[in-house]
Amino acid sequence: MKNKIIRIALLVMFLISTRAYSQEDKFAGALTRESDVPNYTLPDLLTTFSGKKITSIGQWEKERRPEIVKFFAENIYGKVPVPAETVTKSFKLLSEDKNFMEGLCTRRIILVTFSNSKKSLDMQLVTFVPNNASKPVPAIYHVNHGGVKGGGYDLSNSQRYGQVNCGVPLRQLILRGIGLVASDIGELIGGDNRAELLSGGILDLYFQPGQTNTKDDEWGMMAIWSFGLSSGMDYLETQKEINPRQVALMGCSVLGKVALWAAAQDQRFGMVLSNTTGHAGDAIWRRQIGETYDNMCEWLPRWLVRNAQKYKGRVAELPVDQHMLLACIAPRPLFISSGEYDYWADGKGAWISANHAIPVYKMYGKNVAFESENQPEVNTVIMKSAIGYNLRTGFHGTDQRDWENYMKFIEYHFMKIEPRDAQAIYYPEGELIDHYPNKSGKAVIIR
Amino acid sequence: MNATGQDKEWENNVIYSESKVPFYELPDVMMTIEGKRVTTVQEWEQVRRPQIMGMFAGLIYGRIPEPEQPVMQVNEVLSVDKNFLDGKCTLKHLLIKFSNHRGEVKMHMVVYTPNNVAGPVPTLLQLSFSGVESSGDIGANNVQSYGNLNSGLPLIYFLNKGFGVAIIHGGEVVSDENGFGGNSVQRLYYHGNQSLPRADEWGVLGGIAWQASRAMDYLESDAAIDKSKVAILGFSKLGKSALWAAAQDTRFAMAFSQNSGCGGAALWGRIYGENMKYTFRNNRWLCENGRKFVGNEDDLSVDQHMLLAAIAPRPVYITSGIDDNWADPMGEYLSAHFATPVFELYGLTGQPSPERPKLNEPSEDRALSYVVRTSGHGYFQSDWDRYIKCMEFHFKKQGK
Repeated sequence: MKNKIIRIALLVMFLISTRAYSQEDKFAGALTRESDVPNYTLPDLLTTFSGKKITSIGQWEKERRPEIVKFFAENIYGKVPVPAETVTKSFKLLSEDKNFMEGLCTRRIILVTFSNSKKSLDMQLVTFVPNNASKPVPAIYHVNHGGVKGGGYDLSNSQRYGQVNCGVPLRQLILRGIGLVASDIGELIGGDNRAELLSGGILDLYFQPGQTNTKDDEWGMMAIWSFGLSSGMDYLETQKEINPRQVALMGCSVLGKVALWAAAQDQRFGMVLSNTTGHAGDAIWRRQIGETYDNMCEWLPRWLVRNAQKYKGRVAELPVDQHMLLACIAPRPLFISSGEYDYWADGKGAWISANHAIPVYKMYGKNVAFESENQPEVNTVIMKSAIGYNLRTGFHGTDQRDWENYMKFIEYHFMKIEPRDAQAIYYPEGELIDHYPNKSGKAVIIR
Repeated sequence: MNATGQDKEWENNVIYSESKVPFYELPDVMMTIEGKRVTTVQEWEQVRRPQIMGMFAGLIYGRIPEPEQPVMQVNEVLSVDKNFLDGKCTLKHLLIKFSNHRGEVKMHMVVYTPNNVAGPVPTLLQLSFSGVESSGDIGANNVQSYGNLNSGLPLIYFLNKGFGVAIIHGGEVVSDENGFGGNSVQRLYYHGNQSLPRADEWGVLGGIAWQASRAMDYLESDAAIDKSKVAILGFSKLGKSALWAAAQDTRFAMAFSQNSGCGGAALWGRIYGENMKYTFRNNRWLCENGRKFVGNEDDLSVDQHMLLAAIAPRPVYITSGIDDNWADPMGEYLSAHFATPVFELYGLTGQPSPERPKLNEPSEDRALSYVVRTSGHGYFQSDWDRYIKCMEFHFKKQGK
C-alpha cells in the first residue's frame, strides 16, 4: 500500500516536469542576434506568382492582393469553407447600462448566435460608447479570448480607476471620444484546448456531413478567431453609434496575429494596432530570429492551417512572407509596437516587414513617414504616418505607452485632430477632471 | 486584486474626489515640539528630525524593541552563477537565518552584479512581492522577455547601465500579519510572556523595513557592491516599507516609492482612498498606537510629508499613477511639496510648486523627484526607465 502511494506521487511529478520542459524546449535554441540572421531574399511584393509586375492600384486590387490573401488563407491561416447548410448569425441585446462609469458611457452586451440545423453557438460581444458623442465614434476592437463573459470588461478596481479588468484604459478612451468593442472569440473553439487538431465549436456548423477533421486548407485556430472578429463587425454594421469604417483592431501576441489576418481579409476594419505580434503577425519568417516557421509548425500546429506543415523546413520556398500580409492592410493605417528585449517576436523583423509593405501604401498615395530604412532608436514614436511605429523599452506584452500611442494614432487618422497627450485629456480646462463629475465644491488646502 | 464586493464597499465609503477632501491642517515639518522654528541643517538633524523619527516610531510604524537575547545572523550562500544571463552578470542566491533562544526566522535574497564593470557598483535593492526563495523565481532567460525578472524588475536595463540589483521578498520575515507567528521576526524580540508587539512596537511594515536593513547588512559585506550607492525601492505596501526603511537607516542612499499611498508617500490628513481606517482594518501593518487616530486624523502630530523630509538630503523619487485612486496620487504629490522646505534647507531642489507637475512629466534630476504618470497601481517599464535615469543622475554625478 505504501509503495503504491509513492509510485503515484512519482508519476505526478514526472508529468509536471515533462510539461515544464516542453515549454523550455519550445524556446530552446532560439536565435537572438543579428549575426544569426541567414541570407534570405524576400518574395517581391509587386510581382505576381506568375511573374507579372504590378504597377497600378487596379492590378494590385484585382490580381495581386487577392492571390496573396488566397495563399495566406489556404497555406498559413486557413480559409473559411462554405458550409453544407447556411450558418445564420443573429444578434440579441443582453444588457444595457447607459450610466456606465459614472455616466461617461453606455455599455451594451450583445449575444451573437451562430446557428444552422446542426447546432447553435454563442459569442458575447461588448460595446462601450461615449454618452456625449454627437456623431458615430471611432472604436478600438480589442482582441480577447473570453473576457466579456469572464469579467475582463468590468470595472471593479479603484487602484486602476477607469481601466477594465483586462487592462484597457477605458476611461481615457471614452474621454477622447473613442469607443471600445470586444468579443469572446475563444467561444468559437471547442474540444481540447491543447489537442493538435481543432474540433468542436464553430467547426461543427461548417463541417460537411461525415467530416470530422478540418481539411488541409481550412480553419487554423487563427482563422476561427478572425472569423469571430468579422462576425463582430457584422454586428457593428447594424448599429449607428460606432462608425463601422473606423474600427481599429488591437491585439497583443497571438491575438495581434489574428487582428492582422482578420483585417487583411476583411477590409471593413479601418485600422490595425499590432502589439508585439511577431511571427505569423508582423515579423519576417525568413530572418529566423526568435520563433520560427518550423517552431510554430512543431509546437503550435493548431494555430495554423494543416497545409502550413508542407513548408516546414522549407521556409525559403514560401512564396509569401509577412510584409505581404501588412501590405494587404494598405491603404488603412497600421501601427506596430515592439519590445526591445522581446526576441521571440523579432521587433527588427517587424520593422523590416513594415518597410517592405511601403510600396503598396505609396501606390495609394499614403505617406509612410519612415526617415530611412534604419530601425529608429528605442522609444522613438512614429505617429503621423500611414504606418506608425514604436520600438519601446521593455518586453513582450502591452505597455501603457502602447495604449497612448494607439489613442493618438486614432485621433490623427480617424478624428483628424492633432494627437493629444494624456495631460490634455485629464486636465481639459487646466484643472484635473474629478472622478465624480456630478459633485461640486472645492477642498481648501491650508498648510 | 480584490473581490468586487469589497471594492463596492470602498466606492461607497471612501473619498475619491478632490471636492470631498475635508479641511485639514498639516503639522509643520519645520516647527519643533518646543515651538521653535528650524532654520539650520544642524537644528534639523539634532532636534527636529529625531523628534519626527520618534513620533513615527511611537505612533505610526512602531519601534524595533531590544531583544531579550541577541539575534544572530548567518548568511548562507545557496548558489553562485558567474555566468548568468549569457555571462552578463554574476548571480548570488543567499539564505539569511536569524535566531536566538525564541527560534529561527529565514529570509532569501538574490544579488545580481554586472560582469565586465570595474570596481563596486551602485545597486538597487528591490522589495518584491514575488518570492526569491526558489531557483525558479530568480531566472531571467525568457526569450520573450529577455533579462526580465519574475519580480517585474527588468534586470537587463540595470546591467546595461552598470548597476547591480538585489531583491528580497518583502514580508518573507512577517509571514503572519496578525499574530506574528511562524516565520515572523517580531517573535524573536518578545520579552517574558509577550504574545504580540506592544502598542509602540513594530507591525508588518516595520518588520519589512527591518528586513531591508538586514539585506543592507549583507550588501555592505559584498565587495562587488558600492555600499555608499544603494537605492531602495518598493511598490504599494512595500513602498510604504521602503520609505520607512530609508528614513530609519541612513545607509540607504536613495529611496524610490512606487504607488505607496497611505502609510507611504500620501498624507493621512486628506483621508483620501485607503485611509487610516482601511490601513487598520484587517491586520497590524502599523503599530497599535496608530489605531486611536482612525477617524481622528486631525489629532496626529505627524504626517507623511515628514517621512519624506526625514530621508533628506538623500534623493527620493515618488511615482504616482493618475488612476490609482486608492493610493491618493494627489496626496503623494502634496506630501512631496510639503517636505520640500527640508530639502531646501540642505540647498537641494524639491517640489516647491503647489501645483502638481503635468502628467508624464518626470523630474529625475531633483533631490526630491516626482512623477504622476498615466495608468494606475503597478509597475510599467517607463517607471523603471525613470528610476534608472535617477540613479544615473545622482550616483554618477557624485563620481566614482
